[in-house]
Amino acid sequence: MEKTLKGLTTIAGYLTLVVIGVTLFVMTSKPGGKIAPMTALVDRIMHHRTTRIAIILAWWWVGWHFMVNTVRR
Amino acid sequence: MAENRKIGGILGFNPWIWVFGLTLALQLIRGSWGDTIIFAFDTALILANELGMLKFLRHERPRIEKRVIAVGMVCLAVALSLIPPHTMASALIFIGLLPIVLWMVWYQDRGVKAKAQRAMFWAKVAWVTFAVAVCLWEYSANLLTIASGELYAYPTISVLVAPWIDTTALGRFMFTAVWLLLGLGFLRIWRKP
Repeated sequence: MEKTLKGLTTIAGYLTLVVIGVTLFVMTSKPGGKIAPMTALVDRIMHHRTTRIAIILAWWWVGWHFMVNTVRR
Repeated sequence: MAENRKIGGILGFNPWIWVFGLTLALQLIRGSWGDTIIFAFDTALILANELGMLKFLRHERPRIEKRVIAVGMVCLAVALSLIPPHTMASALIFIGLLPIVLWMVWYQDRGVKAKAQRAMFWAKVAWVTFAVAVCLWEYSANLLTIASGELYAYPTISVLVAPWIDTTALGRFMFTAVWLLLGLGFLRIWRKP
């Protein structure tokens, strides 16, 4: 019972973060607001090659982690 | 051709070197040797680029036809959905993909980066805060799992998502589609130069 509660609390944390992320993305999607859209931010940060390399390596690793690595703890 | 401008550093190093260096240290602590090798390679690559040791690899931004990208993405999504995960075949697909995507982002920086507007500053603050929150929650779950020895008491994202990806082709297809679309967004292929 305690284990289930801990597990559900952890999952609730992830779901809260997903809701916050989606809300932030949607609420800032129109240009001209107090917070620039995420697409504009990506355009800006991808100006530098080092950042481009770092982000694409991180993206590649996420795919590798789930599709190739065996999940173990 | 514009000179490669360095972005603000932390203790003299590009922040990405710190991010990948710290992740490398975390993989060492976790004892995940495969990930340790990957992050050691990544950190070395970013460091070598920052130090200008790979200048001979510079090229202009590649222009690839959108239909080629679209066909490639569909083929990848179908292949990764049908091929069983955690096999040599899936590893070879990822190993083959890595130099292609690196080549696509390795191009020379063009022009001077415009000064950030206030809205851009707040966007950066908001998304960095969000990313740090996600990392802290995930890493806390990871540490608590190690401490308690219970995989499902404090599930990490991997523990929650992996069974779904491992057992169904639909799960793999949905994960691959989201992952590829995210990559496409980072590559900014549909955007004007």
